[in-house]
Amino acid sequence: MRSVLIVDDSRTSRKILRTILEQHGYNIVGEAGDGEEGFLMYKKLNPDYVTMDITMPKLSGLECLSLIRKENPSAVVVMVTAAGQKEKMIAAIKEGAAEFITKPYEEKDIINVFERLEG
Amino acid sequence: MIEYCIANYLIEEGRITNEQFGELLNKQDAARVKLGLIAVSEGLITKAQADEINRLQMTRDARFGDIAVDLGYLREDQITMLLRMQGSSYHAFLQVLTDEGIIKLEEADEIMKKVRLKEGLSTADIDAIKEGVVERILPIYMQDIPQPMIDLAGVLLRTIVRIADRHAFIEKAEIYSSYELKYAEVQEFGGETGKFVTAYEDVHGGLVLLASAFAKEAFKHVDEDSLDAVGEFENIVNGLYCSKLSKSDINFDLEPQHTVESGTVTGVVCVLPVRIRNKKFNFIVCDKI
Repeated sequence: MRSVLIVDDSRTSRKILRTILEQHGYNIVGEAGDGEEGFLMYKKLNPDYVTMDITMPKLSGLECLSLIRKENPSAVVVMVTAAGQKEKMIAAIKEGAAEFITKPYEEKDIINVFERLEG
Repeated sequence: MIEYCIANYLIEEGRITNEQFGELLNKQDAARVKLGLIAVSEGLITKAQADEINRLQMTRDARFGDIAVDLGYLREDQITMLLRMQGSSYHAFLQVLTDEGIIKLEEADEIMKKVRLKEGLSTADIDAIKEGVVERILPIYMQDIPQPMIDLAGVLLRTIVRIADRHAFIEKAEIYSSYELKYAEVQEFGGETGKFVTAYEDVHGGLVLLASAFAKEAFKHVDEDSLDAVGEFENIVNGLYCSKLSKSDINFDLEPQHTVESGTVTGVVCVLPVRIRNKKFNFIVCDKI
């Protein structure tokens, strides 16, 4: 069972994503509420995948992505963003983001992203 | 959406309470609108003719529309139109009001005339609200409001209708140069060409309803958890607006949303009351430049 760490400052968003992923057989090994906590939990849990909200207080999703990728250049990080954040998405691609999920969450889109990662 | 205009009138007349309005909306969601009711309310047949068809339906294995055509009361193309209107929320609400004995069907036309006068609306305005076309409804309630704010309100209303409450509606927007926020969920976003601050402020329990519908959780109070859900909804709405702007090469960045217990926004501040079920919240948008 593939393990996932969810990083998002919104408890609601984490809950929705957790529900969808668990229903499709993914093991949510941790949840973090900001980028700082996300990086610490990544180092501790070493998950197969990370979902990372782009817009967060303290350490942003882009900054956390950069730290994780420096820690582990093979880390698979899926960026999560509200619609219309083109420049942040381009910056995330340059930092090594593997995939994108856009809010509002569509279950089919999320599962397609993870199937591409598995594939 | 038209339900709110009708309910406002009925509440003022003392015929229903605000709590009853909430229950009626629940029943409306489950109600099946009868073709006869639509035909009478549209002035295509009389109530007496509808009653006659209903009596015949009890003895024949035939549909309302087929009997109406046989008797020469309606044409086939009118039946087609009525079937399309069967999905109309206006007729569904009328159905519930008549089923519950709150109004008689014969009163519907007169009530709509009084609603129109009370709300200060034209016949075209009422038609737009009945049809639920957001783009035609916004200018009615957001007169003299800058267009970008109207566009953002449009994204909000369509998203609420799609995700949270298909009955959602708005009241008249007001403009201020300064506005005191009380316990609101706030987000800033912008870029080189402009900056906005949006806030969702509870007025009469509306934020709790919005949070519950969006997160599919039964929140009871405005607290950290329900405001978190509201903030996430706000993030989605603002993101969808930014997405529309990006098609014109306007790139706006979203900041993290946060809760403000009390604070002031200054600039060009639009306050738009939003109705969800029988509750309300304020949608505030401030142009910082």
